[in-house]
Amino acid sequence: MTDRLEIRNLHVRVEEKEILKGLDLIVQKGEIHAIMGPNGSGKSTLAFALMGHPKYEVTEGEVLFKGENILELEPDERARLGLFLAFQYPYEIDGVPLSRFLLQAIKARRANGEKLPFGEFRKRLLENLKKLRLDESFATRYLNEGFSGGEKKRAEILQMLMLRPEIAILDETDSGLDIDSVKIVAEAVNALRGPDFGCLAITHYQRILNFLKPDYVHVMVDGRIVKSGGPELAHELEAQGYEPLLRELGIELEEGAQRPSKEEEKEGVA
Amino acid sequence: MTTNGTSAQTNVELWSRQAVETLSRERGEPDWLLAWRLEHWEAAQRLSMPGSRYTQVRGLSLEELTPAPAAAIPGEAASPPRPEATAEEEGVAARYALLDGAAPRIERSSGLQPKGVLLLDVEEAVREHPELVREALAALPAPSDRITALQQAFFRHGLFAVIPRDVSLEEPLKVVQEVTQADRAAFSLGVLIAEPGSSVTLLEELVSSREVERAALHVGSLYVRVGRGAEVRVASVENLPTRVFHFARRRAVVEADGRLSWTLGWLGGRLVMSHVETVLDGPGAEVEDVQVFFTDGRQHFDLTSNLLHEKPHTRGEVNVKGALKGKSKSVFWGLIRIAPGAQGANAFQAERSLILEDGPRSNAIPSLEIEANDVRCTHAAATSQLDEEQIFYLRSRGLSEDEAQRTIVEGFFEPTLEKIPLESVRERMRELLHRKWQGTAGAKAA
Repeated sequence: MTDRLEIRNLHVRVEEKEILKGLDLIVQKGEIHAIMGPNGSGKSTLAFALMGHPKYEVTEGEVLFKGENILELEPDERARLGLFLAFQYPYEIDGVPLSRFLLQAIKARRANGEKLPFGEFRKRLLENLKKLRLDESFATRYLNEGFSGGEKKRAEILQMLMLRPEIAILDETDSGLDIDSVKIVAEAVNALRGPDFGCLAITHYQRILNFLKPDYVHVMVDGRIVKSGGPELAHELEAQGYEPLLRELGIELEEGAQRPSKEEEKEGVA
Repeated sequence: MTTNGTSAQTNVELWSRQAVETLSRERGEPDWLLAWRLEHWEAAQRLSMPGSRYTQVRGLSLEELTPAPAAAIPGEAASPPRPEATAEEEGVAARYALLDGAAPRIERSSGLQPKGVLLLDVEEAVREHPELVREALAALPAPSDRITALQQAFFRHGLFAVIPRDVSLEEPLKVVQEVTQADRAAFSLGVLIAEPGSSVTLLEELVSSREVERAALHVGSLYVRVGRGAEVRVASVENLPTRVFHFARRRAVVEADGRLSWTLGWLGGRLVMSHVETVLDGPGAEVEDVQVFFTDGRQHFDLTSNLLHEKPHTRGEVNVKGALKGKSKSVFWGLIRIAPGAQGANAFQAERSLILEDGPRSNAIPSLEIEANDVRCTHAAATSQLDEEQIFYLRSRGLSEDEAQRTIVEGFFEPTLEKIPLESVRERMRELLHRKWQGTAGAKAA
């Protein structure tokens, strides 16, 4: 019970519009879950709502983690509880060197006064930079300032590796990355794989799942999980797109909602 | 005249023409200086208070103030508190301290004497080197407001320093001015002459050991001459109590291939009006002006930086950055003037302010007067607000709301702080900005 993130009947509104319409999902530590779905299905809303973004208003439901309803917690309290969100579009923070920020964030998570010796921090930082094929000087740059799209995504994963969350939500970390970078990022996530780490990977494309190898795949449409299965579900979607599945479930997409296609996937590769 | 002057009648006399004459006579000043003072006293009668449509001087009545006296008033400290460390221990070439515009004290380190550096209080300098003082005063522009005119009529003290040709002072000169008395008008007039090929750093601190319970006025001016090929760095940190009105005028003339750097940090005071003017007066002359401010409560800072490119191939760079809280206001006036014939001049001026709450207002008024055609000139001004998305991003990593905001604000200042050439000043500014964020800055002593 305590080792899982349990989402029950989650309803979320953004600017008066209901986006999540009763979503249920359980992520156990030790598991990797993938959420796929067409654009506009509410995947990023789920990520922001779980992390507590002030603009995402929860109107119904609960999210339980370590015996607490985390919806009642501030974003930083959720982070200190062990939750992490890798942003799809990370923000640039001028004048804050990445390494100093990492140290500050690690310290903030250790409010009980437990110390991380600087030598130990530095060792871990260098190891993780290496894992992500990033140069040592990368950590001296200001947080995301002037980073390329790919560098920003790797910086997110670097933060995840340094902060060692118990449950990580990856919001389209793979989009905008070339195939080599997708592989590097997926390998870094796999390195955390184990009984103390759970992951919810939101993605538009199947390709990261070739490396990430999720235990479960969920399809999200119009604010709900409409189908769950094993890795084979991702392959099915890759081969056939969402339409056969939607037809099977009798769901009609709102006008304007896009579907993934091979074309789009190519565009997404920067 | 030994009371603190609560009677309006007495105070009018303290600001009279006769008071100027008495001051000058008691000090045994030459006739030309008395004439100079009286000229400014006359000017003060017709000039108005400084201000603009953005800045008005409110809550300060000169009639209720007493000019700094010749000798300590009974019951007040007779001299600035003496720091525990000696000048040598502090790593400075010399220390000059003023308390409420009076009671100057100079301490020189032993290494200073053989270099021939002239370091005096201006009162002494008038006696010993009248021609040098006269030349320096003649270089000051005519005052354009009542406060500056009164300061030039009533000034008593200030550091007068001459760095001889080709002398490099490794360690800085330090000037500490304290404002501790309410209802007082404290003036200082400083002069720094760096002769050709010399090098010097001047550190100024404007502080107080305690809160001042009513309005007080502090007016400081500094005239700097940077000789041919000389290098001068001036760094000042202003952290005066919250009821002090502070007016600062700094003017520098930089000769050919001379280099000047201004670093000004503004944190305290009720109203601050600062005017910095750099005249790039010889080919290859350079100036860098870095200013950082942080306002809160009802503070009002009005900062001017003028770059006057008089000669070709001169370079000027101004970077001003400030954060505002509470109901505070800031105004930045930036002028770049490039004289006819100053070809190849390169001027850059940027002002950025970050508004942290709904209450503050920030204005920037840049102006350009370009009269040469082969120049590079850039100016930029921007005001932004704390970004909720950035705050959420940092909070998602475990930083509290306050810590996230502080991180963004300190990061906002950081690239500008990194331009400060002196490590000690950079660290001091970081510390003071941090303390201001925590709401404890303002009345604390250095």
